This record gives sequence, structure tokens and C-alpha cells, in this order.
Amino acid sequence: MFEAHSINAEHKDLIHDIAYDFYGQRMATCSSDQFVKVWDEDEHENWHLTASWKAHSGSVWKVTWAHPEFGQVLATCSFDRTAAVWEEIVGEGSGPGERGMRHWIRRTNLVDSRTSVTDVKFAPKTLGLLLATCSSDGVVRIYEAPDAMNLSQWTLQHDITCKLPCSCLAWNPSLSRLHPPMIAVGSDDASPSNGGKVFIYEYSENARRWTKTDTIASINDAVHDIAFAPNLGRSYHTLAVATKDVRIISVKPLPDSAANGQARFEISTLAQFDDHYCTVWRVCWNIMGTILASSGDDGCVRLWKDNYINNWKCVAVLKGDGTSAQSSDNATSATQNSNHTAVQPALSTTRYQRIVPTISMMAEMDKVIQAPLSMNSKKYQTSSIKGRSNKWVMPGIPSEAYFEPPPPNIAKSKNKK
Amino acid sequence: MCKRAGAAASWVGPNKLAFFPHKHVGITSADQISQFASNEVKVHFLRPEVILFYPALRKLVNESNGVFLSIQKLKTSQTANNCKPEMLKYSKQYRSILRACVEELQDLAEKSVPEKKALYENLQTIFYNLECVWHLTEILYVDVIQGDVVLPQLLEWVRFHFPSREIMAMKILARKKIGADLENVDYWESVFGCALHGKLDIVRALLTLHSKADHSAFLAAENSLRNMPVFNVYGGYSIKEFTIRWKQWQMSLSQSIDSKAFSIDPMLESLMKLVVGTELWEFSKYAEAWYELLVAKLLYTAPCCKQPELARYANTIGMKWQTVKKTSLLVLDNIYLALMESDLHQVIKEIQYMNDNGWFAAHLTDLLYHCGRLNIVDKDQINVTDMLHESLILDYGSTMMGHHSLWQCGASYLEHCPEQGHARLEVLLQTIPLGSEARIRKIIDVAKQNNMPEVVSSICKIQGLKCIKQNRLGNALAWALKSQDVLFATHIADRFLRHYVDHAEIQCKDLLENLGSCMLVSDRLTFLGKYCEFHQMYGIGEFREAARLLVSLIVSNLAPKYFWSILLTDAIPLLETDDLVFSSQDTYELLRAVQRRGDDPKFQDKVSIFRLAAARNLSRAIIVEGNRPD
Repeated sequence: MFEAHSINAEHKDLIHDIAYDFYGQRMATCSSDQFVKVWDEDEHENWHLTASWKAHSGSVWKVTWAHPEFGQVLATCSFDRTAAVWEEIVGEGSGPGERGMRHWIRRTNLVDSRTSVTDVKFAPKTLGLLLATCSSDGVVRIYEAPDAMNLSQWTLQHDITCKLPCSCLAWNPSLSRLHPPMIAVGSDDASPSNGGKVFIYEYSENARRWTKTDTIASINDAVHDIAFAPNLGRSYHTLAVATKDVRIISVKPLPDSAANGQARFEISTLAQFDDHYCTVWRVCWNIMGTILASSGDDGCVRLWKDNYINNWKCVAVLKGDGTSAQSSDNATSATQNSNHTAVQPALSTTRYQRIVPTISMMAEMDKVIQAPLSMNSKKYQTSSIKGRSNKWVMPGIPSEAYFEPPPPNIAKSKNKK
Repeated sequence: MCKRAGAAASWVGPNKLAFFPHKHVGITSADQISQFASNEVKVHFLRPEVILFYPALRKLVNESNGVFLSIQKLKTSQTANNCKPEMLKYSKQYRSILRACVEELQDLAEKSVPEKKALYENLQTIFYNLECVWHLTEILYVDVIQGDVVLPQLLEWVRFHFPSREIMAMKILARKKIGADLENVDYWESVFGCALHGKLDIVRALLTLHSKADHSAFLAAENSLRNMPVFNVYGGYSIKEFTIRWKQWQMSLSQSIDSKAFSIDPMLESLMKLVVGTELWEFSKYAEAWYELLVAKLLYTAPCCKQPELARYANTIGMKWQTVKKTSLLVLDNIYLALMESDLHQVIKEIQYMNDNGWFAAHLTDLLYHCGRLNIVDKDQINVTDMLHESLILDYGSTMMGHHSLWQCGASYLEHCPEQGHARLEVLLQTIPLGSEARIRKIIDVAKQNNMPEVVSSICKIQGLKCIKQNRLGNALAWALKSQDVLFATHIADRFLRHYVDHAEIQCKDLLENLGSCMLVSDRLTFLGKYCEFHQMYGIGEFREAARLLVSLIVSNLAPKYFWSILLTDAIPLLETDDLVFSSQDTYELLRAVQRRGDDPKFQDKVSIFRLAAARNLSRAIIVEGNRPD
């Protein structure tokens, strides 16, 4: 049973972004080597490189998939001041039983920016085929393909000037018709004196324009990444922000606020974590918006989850090192497991117990924690919950208790027969 | 490399994580080759291991799903109060599923190769423990015990889960030899073990095999043990009466002990001391778990202990066990303790770490919830029972949704989460990779049952788009019709029409001729359908009907620009038929159409022919119509 594996991305420099399609079966990677690569997963969970092309004449910062309703479509943005939309074409005339040759063609090149384009994101599909880009000169642009079946025609619908350089943007994925289209934009301007660094823009159907409806005043430090959690029927939006720490912000629309000119939203910080002890670069929600993955300069990825009463906590720390296989100082759990893939469940049963005191009521704990613990590859070191476990020991329970294996009851069940 | 460069992660699908070295670039970063350019760039994939996805556990997952669903049905049909016996039945069903699962794992472990064997044995441990906890929960919370005296059930529970001493005793008894204490080193161990479990009949049988069994002390002991009153709800005594009888028996036994009646054998004497309730901890070496001592303590000192009093006994024994045995309590012990202390919140907290991916927590919590036994308040004294219950089921359902063939099972759990279930199901349904048509149909069915027309439409559209890419227009149209998406249907109809323009043949005639009312989805599709009908009529020689259709197509103005030349060309042979098929009115319409639309370059060479044919037809029509009697 293979629970973790690695592939060589075959890029000639660091990967800047990885994007997965809706089903998690296709992967697009982009890098400073100016290439974009597309990988497909087969039924045995192996990834195969199916396309690789030089997409830009500068580092490619971000890559993103459109909803499959629009076909197999990618958008990229680059240091070369452009953003591009790519479509996969399945060649005709393939032999029997054999898939047609696939290749990606550039459907459009969006050249309006005069500086590096730092982020590109497709709008939720209910809004149609819309694409937002932001650039370091502080302009957010929204493009639309009026005919979703024709990807070569894009019109610049709006350009919104922010006062600060933009580093990232996120569409609010809410599918509710009660919420107008919303974009959050982050700036990595470093000076705290310039005020809040996350801006919220909303589209007004009546005025036919985007207007800044709020600024998150509590974040004055540079913002590197933002992500809205999928809104599964909540009355508020959840926004994760990567700044000097991880923030989880709730943005709650207030009723009738437009009429009386008061604040549009009630903005509150649900959680704030400085566990990375350094700047946080990326935040990413899982598809249900239940677990947030954050990562920073420390080389760790931390997973955060809330419980049934919306208490956010760290549920796992993943530490990966793809190159130094010999560093085994903290690799006890990994090596134990790698000897015997088959014994994973029980090993983790016992090993788990260490973690037990750190988190209460984490139903998804096992799902997350087990990942690093049951790793097959020796190349992974898991420093499961470093530091935190000491902090969070539950009072009254001697922690040694957790190191013992469960009683060997199984012998008795056998005797019974 | 992740360490040096920093790392980033992206989610893959619902539960997988991709991990890659990543160096952040800000707006000011220059576009240059990084210091890591020479290294191999790797992407690592991590996925939580879900043991429930092992084929060996498939039965457990599916059968428990069935029980879960029956409980939900029960809830809607009955009130919580009168379904207690039903709940007990379901609890037993769950336990029998667990036991069947453990047995199957045992079989598998015996048959399989060593590497696999360890896995199955570990799974056995997990599920055996689950069953054990469930059993105790059932006794304390689900079962209705007359008079609330829990001891008989507890005894049964302990005997069931610690049968080793009894088996030992059975072996000795099977030999049927007097002097068993001399032949079997474990003689006294099995006597004390059985006594701790209250198996007094076995103890007595063992005593008769003792080498000094004929001695009066042994006979007295046997007699005393036989006469020990045992509480039984149906025994005809009230608790008070029983207590009096039991106290009397205890008194006389303790007098016998004091008068050294059993002193010929020190072991016998200590056995009687255990039975009379004065000694307990000397026997801790014969117990594997603290709760074995607990039931012995209850049996010999407080046989009528009720559930509320259990907590006190459990706590004392649990604490003392740790000091006597110099160990601390394990997770399972803590669960049992919390169960006996009626701290269900703590129990639910603990059972989430049983490593079964939430199966146990979800199902047990659900059962207790429906028994009305859950009442959990948070630190602000707000009742969060519903939220806790739902969050556990949501998590379990979501886990199941992540599997390519268990997703339907997962969906059935999400359907029973009133708060967030619908939204989550909507998201997760759409992320199930669309495989075979059969699977897509299943996904669509689930979406329809849950009233999610948008999901259905989206899936059909994606599927249609795939068909277009493969040039299977007929299939694409079928999907477009299911999706009821106007633009998409129009687009596909256009493809058909353009194909006709280019190749002069209609693809997928069968489908198009049988569209029926489906063609009304979009104007273009209606046009296509009607145009096919025209061809059909023409083909079977129904020229009059064909002509009528053609005129209505022309008048309706539904045709796309590129198709007008075709329509007009089609009219020419009909204008020249032997029987008159166009009336003068129709002919005027045709002439008007050619005036407006006949400028298509492809039609230029036919304009004069058309006009000539129209003129001749008109003349014929006027003559015929003029001759018609009014």
C-alpha cells in the first residue's frame, strides 16, 4: 500500500506553483525555467508527464485550471508581463484503441499589464468564463470570454487600480446568488504605514463596476497569499491569509448595509498562528474548506482544522526533504514504518497516542496525521507536532500512558474459538 | 531541499496533498535562475491511509451503513422514547458486524503471507478493541437494565473479553483427576481467575478436584460458595431482601474464616477472603486489567451497585491499580473509566483516536445520540450535542466520499447531516472523477435524489464537452439535452448543421429524428430537429408535408446565416414536383426569403434557377387555386 510517493517534476528550476484539476487527476506545474508541464494520473496512481512547453519568456509564477465545464483549460501568468490561456486539443486521426496526441495551444495572450503579472485566477463557474489577474503595479484586471465555447476571444472587462502593488488575489467561491461576485486582493507592500493589505472588491450589478467595499485593517504586514474557503452554506466567508503568520479571517456580510452607508462586512479574525516562526508564503484549502495547509520558509507544511465549535488548531506538521535521505535524527517514526509497510495501522495506533494530548476533538486527526506517519519513503522525515505536544498536554493525564501499546486482547479472541 | 528552499503544498482532490520545494517570489523578485536550479525538483504526494478502504473491511463498511440508515429511518418514524428496544437491537447488530469482521480478519491473517499477516492482526486488534468498548457502552447506555443493577452485565462483559482463565480451568476439569492442584501448576491461578469473574460454579468444580477435597474445610468452602446469593432481577427478591440475605451469608462466612475453618490450606483461606470481600488487591496479579478487579470488588462487596455509584468504585479501583501495578492507564482503560464515570464527552474525545478513521466515533455517537443519551455542553454551557454529532458523521461521510467505489455509502451519511451535509455533498459529488457511463449515471441519480439540478447539469455538460472533443456529436447532444443547458445545446446543434453544410449528410439521424419535445431546449436545436423531419418526409415521398415544413422553417427565421443557402436550395426540387406542393402564398414566402437571404455566395449560381422554378410554381398554383370552387 503506497501512501506517499514522489515524482521528479523535471523542471530545471524551482517550481512556483502546482495546480490540480477539479478531480485531482491532472496536475500542472510551472517554474522559473519558463516551462509549464501537465501530468496525468493513471489508475495505479502514477503520474505521467503528458505535455511540457515553454509558455512564457520569463518565470511563470502561477498556473490555474478552469472548471471542466469549459474544457481542459489552463491560465498562466509570468514575469514577462503577460498572462495566457491555454487549451488542450486532442488530435484527430488516432489509431484504434490509442489516445489521440494531446497538445496545448495558446488561446490568448493578455498583454495589458506593464509589469510582472503576479497572480491569475478563474472566477467561479457560475459567473461565466471570467479571469482575474493582478500585477505588481497594483492593477487588478478582469477578463471575460463572452462565448465560453470560444476561448480565443477575451475582452478586458474591468481594470481596478489598487494603491499598492498586488501579490495575490482570490475569488470568493460562494455559489449563493445572495452574494455579489467578490475578489480579495493582497499586497506584499512591506510598509505597515500604508494600512491594511487585504482589500475586498465587490461587483455591483447596477453600477456595472467593481468597487472596493472593505479593507482588512488588522493586517498591516505584507501579504503573500490569500485563499477563500469554499463556502458550504455558511453565512460568512472564510479567508485564509499568509502574512507574517497564518490568519483565518471571517468576512460576514451585514444585511442592508449598502442602504445606510455603514460598513459592508463584519470582519473578525477567527485564528492567528505564528507556529511557523517565520513568514508564511502559501495557504491552501482542501476542497471542503475543512483543512488549511500553510507553508513558509521553515520548510514545513502545517495543517489546520477546526472542530465542531469552530476552534482552529494545528493537526499536523509535515516536513519533507526530498534530497537528504540520510538525515535521520527525527526520522524514527518514518523508518519504523518503512521497514514494514504492512504494520502501519498499529504502529500508528501506538504512536498516535503521543499526539493525543495535543489536540482535542479532532475527528480528522487520523486522516491527517497518518499521512506522515505511514510514509513509505525513507526520504520523508516526520517531525510530528514538534514543540506543540509539550504545550498542550492535557492536565491530569500522565503522558507516559500514551506510549504503551494497547493491551494484547487479540490473543483472547483467538482462544475463544 | 524543502528545508533549504522552503516548501509549499497544494491539495489534490479531497484528501491528498502535494508537497514541493518552493521559494517565494514577491513583486520585487528578479527573474533569475535560483541557487537551486541544479537540483532535481521533486513533488511528493501524501495521502492519509484509510484502513476502511481495505477490501477486508468492505463488508464492515457496507453493513454498518445499512444499520446506520435503518436507525435514521427509525428516528423519523418514531419518537426517541419508545424505540429503546429497537436501539438495543441495532447496537447488537453493530457489534455482530464488528465480531464478524474480527473473525474474518483472523481467517485472513491465518491464510496470508507474513507481511500481510501483521497488517490483519493489527486490524484485528483495532476492531476487537472497538467491539469491547461498544459492548460496555451498550451495557451502560443502550440496554435497559431492570432495577439499574449493572453487575450481571458487567460480569458477562469481563468474562467474555478475558476468557483465558476459564479456558485454563476447563482444561483442568476435563482431566477429571483428583489432586489437580498437584498436577497443574496453574490450578490456583485458574481458581482465583474464575473467582474474580464470579464463575463460582467452576471454582466449586475445581475445588472438588483438589487433593484435599474430602477435608471438611473444602466441603465447607464448597457449601458456602454454593449458598452465595446471586442477585437476579427475575429471582423474585427485591434489592432490599436480597441485600439482607447476602449480608447474612457474608456474616456467616466471615465467622467461619475467623474461626480458622479454612486454615488447612492458605490458598483456600485467601480464596474465601476474596469471596467474603475482605481481600482484593492480593489478587491483582491474577487480573490483566483494572476492570477485572472492579467487577470482583462489586461482586463481593456491593452486588447491588447501581450505575450512578459505579463511577466512584471505578475511579478508586482505577487509581489504586496504577499505584499497585506501577503502571498508568492506557487509552482503552481511560475510555472504560470515562464510560463508567458517565463522561460521554471524554469518551467521544478518546474514541476518535482509535485509528479506525472515524468509523467508531461516528456510529457510536450516532447510536447514543438517537438513544437520547448524549447531552454535551461546551465550556459556555451551550448545548453542542447536535453539532458534535453532525461533525463526526460529516467527517466519516467525507472520508468515504474520497473512495472511488464507497462514495455512495459516504453520500448516504452526508444526506443525514441537516446543517452542512447538503452543501458538502454538492461539492464532493462534483469532484468524483467521472469514469464509466454507469458511474456517471449513479452520480447523477444521487444528485437528482438530493435535488441538485445544477450538479446534474454541470456533470452532463462536462461529459458532453468530452464527447465533442472526441467528435462523438450524437453522445454530446444526448448529454446536452440532459444538462438542459441552452448555450451548449445550441453549440452542438450548430456543429450538426455545419457538418451538414460541409458534408451534405446528417449525423446521428436516429437521435435527431426522435428528439420529440427535447428539441425545444434551444431554438437552434428545434431548427435542427425540424430540418431532419423535413428530410425524413422528403425521403419517404411525403412532398406536401415536406414542403409545409420547409416553408415553416423559412418563415420562422430560426436558421443560422450559413444555412440559408441550403434551405433555399432544398426548395428548388419541391417547386418542380409533378404535383403542386407549394401554394401561391408559400411561393411568395419563398420569393421573399430569396430576396432577403439569397445573397450567400454559395447560392449565387442557383438564384436564377430558383426564381425560374418559383415563377413556374406560382403560375401553376394560381391556376389551381383560381379553379378551386369557393
